[in-house]
Order: sequence, then C-alpha cells, then structure tokens
Amino acid sequence: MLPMLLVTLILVSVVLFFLPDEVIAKYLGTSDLLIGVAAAALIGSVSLLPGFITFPLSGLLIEQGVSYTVIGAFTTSLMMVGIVTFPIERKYFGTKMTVVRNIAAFITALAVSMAIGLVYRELL
Amino acid sequence: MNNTSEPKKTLKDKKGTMALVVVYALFVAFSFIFRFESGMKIGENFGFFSVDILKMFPPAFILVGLFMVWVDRKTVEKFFGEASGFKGHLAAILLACTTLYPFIVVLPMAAALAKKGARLGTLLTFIGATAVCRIPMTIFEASFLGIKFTAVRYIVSLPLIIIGSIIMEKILGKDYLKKLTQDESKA
Repeated sequence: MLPMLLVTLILVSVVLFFLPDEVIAKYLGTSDLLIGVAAAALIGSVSLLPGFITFPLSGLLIEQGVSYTVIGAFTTSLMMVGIVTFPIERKYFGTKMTVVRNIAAFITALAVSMAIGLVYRELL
Repeated sequence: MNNTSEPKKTLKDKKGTMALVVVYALFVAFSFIFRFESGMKIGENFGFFSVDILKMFPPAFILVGLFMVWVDRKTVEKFFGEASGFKGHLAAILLACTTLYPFIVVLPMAAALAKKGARLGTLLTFIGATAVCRIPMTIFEASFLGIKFTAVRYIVSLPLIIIGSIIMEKILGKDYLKKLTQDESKA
C-alpha cells in the first residue's frame, strides 16, 4: 500500500508540473466545443486535484468564457476517473476491475458533459 | 498453478517501484541543490499533495478499523449483499453521500465493505457515487458553479453509475471479489 501511494504521489507531482492551471485553462478554453470536451476529459482523467482547487479553478474558467459542457467533462472525469491512482486501485481490486471501472467512469463523464451541454443550451 | 509465478512477479514489481522512488528522490534532491526550477516545482507538488493526503489517512483508517470491529457482517450483507437487490445500490449511494474523503481514502473503505460481504455491484456503485455526491464537496461545487450545474450532474450521473455497476457486475462476474480474496490469501 505505502509503495503504491508513493508512486501515485510521484505521478501526481509530475503530471501537475506539466499541467499547471494556465495550461489547463488554455486547452479548455478553445472555441471548438468538441476539442474542449476531449481535452477536458483527458486532462481530468490523468490529474488528481483536490476539490478546493478544482471548483474555484472551474468557476474562474466559466467566468473567462469556458463552456459548462467542457467544465462538466473536466470535473466529472477528474472525480471519477483515476489514471494516477491506478496502482493503488489495482492493489485493492485487481487489474480487471480497475480497467473496467475507469472505462465506465470515463463514459459516464462524457454523458454528464453532454447532458450539461443540453441543459445549458450549448449543444444543439 | 499461479503460485510459482505470482511471488516472482510481485518481487519484480517491488524492485521497479523502489528504483522509481530512488531515482525520483535523487532527481528532486539534486534539483534543490542546483536550483533546477522545474525539479523544484515537482518536489513542491509532491510535498503539497503528501501533506494533503496523509492528514486524511489517520481518521479514515480509524473509521475502517472501527467498522471492521463493530459492524456485524450480517448488517453489511443485509444492506449491500447478494440479497439486497436494487435497494443495495440506493444504500450504497446514501453511504457514499456521507463520505468525506477523496478516492484514495475511499478505496480502503470499499475494500472493508467487500470483506464484510458487500456484493460487487453495490460496491461499484459506492465507489462511483463517492466521486459524485460527497455532500461537503457538493456544497463547495454548487457555490462555485451554481446549483443547476450540480443538480444536472446528480440527476444524470447517479442513474448511470447504477446502470454501469450492474453491467460491470455482469462483465466481471459475481464471484470476482471472492476470487480476488482467494488469490490474495494464496499469495
């Protein structure tokens, strides 16, 4: 457990170095909704941000004009999909369940993003 | 059959992990000595997240410990076990909403539930729902993104999590957790 926790913390520290707030803002702020959602879901999947950073950052991005659809994909995948926590999750529940659960979580995140897009009339 | 190959593999895993940790520690240490800014930033990130996560572990593990001692296996089986049916998913969501902790700390909690007889489907719903509807997090989210945003996310994600869990239970097989604990006790 402890070695896996160390690996996770190492991964997080490196991923966050390459994805500081400015970079996240840049990729999420594209005018192309599809690219924005794809970037948001991918960045959300590989990152691990605590809520006290995620939501203020998301609020700020909304103020800057990033769409709710993109933020929906970002926050949901951030919370549900865990690529950096993969080693720990595997330790507890095996590789197969970890892979299947993360794929399902990713699909859920995209569905939530689409639903938010429809409700906020950003899609269609 | 797997008995001979398993220990070797974990030993190799351990060596790889150790190597990674040592290389990383050296890299960060040298970065601070030679004022290499990128390396220093990575080191700072590590410190920041370690503190953040480590301070959540003691209370969480105390809870898991108390849970293992005090909560009767029959109670867990009744609410989350084979016979709980669809209500098991609802119970899992209710339990998830009261959770305070992030994913890393939820994992040992979920493992404790599994050990006490929760079935795979309700367990998956619990793990999924902790990501979506922890109440303190939700309040925080709604204050920054609006209640409407949070409401849509709840309404869409919770049914999807239940459906997903039911499908995953089918894919992985109901005995998945049993097999997992058997493999563990063998190793």
